[in-house]
Amino acid sequence: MIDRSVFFLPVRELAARMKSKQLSSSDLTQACLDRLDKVGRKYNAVVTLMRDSAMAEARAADAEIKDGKYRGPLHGIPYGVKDLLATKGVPTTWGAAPYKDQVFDYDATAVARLRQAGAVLIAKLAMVELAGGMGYNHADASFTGPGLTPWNTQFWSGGSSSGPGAAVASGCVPFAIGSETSGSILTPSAYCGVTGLRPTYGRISRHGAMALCWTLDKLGPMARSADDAALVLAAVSGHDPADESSLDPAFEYRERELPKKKLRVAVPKGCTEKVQKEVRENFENSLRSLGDAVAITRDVEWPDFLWGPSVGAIVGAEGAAAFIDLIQAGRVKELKCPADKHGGYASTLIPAVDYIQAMRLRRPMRRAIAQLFEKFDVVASPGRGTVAYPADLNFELAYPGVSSGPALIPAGNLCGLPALSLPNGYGENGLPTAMAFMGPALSEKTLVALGNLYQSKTDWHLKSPPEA
Amino acid sequence: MPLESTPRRDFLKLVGLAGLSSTLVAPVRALAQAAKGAAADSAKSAPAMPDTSKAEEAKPPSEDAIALSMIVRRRYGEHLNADQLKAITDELDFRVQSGERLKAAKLTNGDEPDVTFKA
Repeated sequence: MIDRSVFFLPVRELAARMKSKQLSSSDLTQACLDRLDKVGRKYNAVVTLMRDSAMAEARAADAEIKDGKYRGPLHGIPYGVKDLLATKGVPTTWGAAPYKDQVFDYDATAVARLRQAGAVLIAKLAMVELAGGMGYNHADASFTGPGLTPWNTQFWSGGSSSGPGAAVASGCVPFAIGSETSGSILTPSAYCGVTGLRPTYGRISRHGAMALCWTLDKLGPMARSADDAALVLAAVSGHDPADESSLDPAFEYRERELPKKKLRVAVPKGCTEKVQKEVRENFENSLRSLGDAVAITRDVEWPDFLWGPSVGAIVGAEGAAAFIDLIQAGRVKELKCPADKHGGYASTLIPAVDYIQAMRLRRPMRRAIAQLFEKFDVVASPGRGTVAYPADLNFELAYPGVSSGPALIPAGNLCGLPALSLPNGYGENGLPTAMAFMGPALSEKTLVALGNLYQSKTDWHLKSPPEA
Repeated sequence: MPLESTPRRDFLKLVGLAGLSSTLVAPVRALAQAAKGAAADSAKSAPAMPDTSKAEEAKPPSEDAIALSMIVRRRYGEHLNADQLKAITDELDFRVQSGERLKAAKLTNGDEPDVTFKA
């Protein structure tokens, strides 16, 4: 019998217990499978449980560890993946009814690399249908039902990595792999109170991942802490011949690291003006808790570009191309959210010139952001301007008059930059709030070090939601 | 009659774009436009915060948007109802406006798209 507290231990602690044989992978895997089935389903976080293969992998891990063949900190650790990653012989549904019986005959590179590290894949986790590519505007946008945050099930888990967010937050898995095109790791991390790392574009191979937008899609870990997220990133990063956009060198991380120098932190002008009161207060408290380890500059002007129209044209055009067969066949009507049933049609008429203009703008955008990062190491902001949206309202009706300020999420994604979302308190209705750090390309080590520092001074990441 | 073969005038009535007072539809359109802007900001992968504080009295869709919606009707009308086509027209109107802004961006002839073709 696994004590409830074990479900909320960080990977590094679970790994220590497994290596010293105080805890077996088989026991933990069985317990996580049962918990996903019993608790995870209450948040609509689960698509497919992989009981047989997971238990076989767990037993193999136990045998290897017993024989002294310890592979590293993920060996024997159960985890889940957003259901847009191909897994050989197991349905990969992309969260959408038209694909609910889809089965691939290969594993995504991220899954293969985690298996190589000894991690135990136990479930395909729920997601917003087609990763939100058809324009959803409501929590109920998946054939598995609306993703719900474990902190208050009247509210959304965030998307599109809804299952990974809820499953990690509720202690069903120690970590999960999500994906982000523009906000899909950071948002559910914030709304579920977990730590999410959106890596630099190309850090993790996209091979075997559903394509929504080839030039923006990224995979990334969602976990209990920055330290755990870094351990996972280290296991899956690096060049993959199957994905030309994937990068070398791989991200290396073994011991928990803290900043090696005083970091220069920029707070963009306007990023707290129109956010919810608790979001603002928690952000200010978070900055204060970093103390002398950082030099904070406030009211930094955010480069003025067409962030919204650019990301809209790129995701719209690439998304329509990625799903043109579904759109032309009229099968988008099988999607769950009413907005998704027609959202792709307008995108099929985006002029090539608009798309190319947006792609041309990405270079000056990257230059401007690179200039900003000559003066600063990290940009800090609230992760989201509000707590989670009510699960029964269209998004535009959720929090009238509230705004996040500068378009940091579209900007970070257009420029391919890494970002880290960290839980930093609670707001309305007992829901979590978050702080986000963003850095220049390939600066994950700096972001994680600052995240480790923050989490060494606070305990928001250690808190667990009420039991369902 | 299938949506894709209705005459233009009937089509416009069907999707609520003909003869409607902008005063009547303004609040709904304003909210819809604020939401559309927010959705575009986030590129739909995850929703951005809808800034309804900026909702303004909206205009009817542009002629370009209406013309484009007729292409959608002709190509995909068999899959769509009138409400959906109206929503698509609003989306097209937003995309036309976004496209105008993108086309007006200051770029030089040497500014290449941020994707490099390799032989």
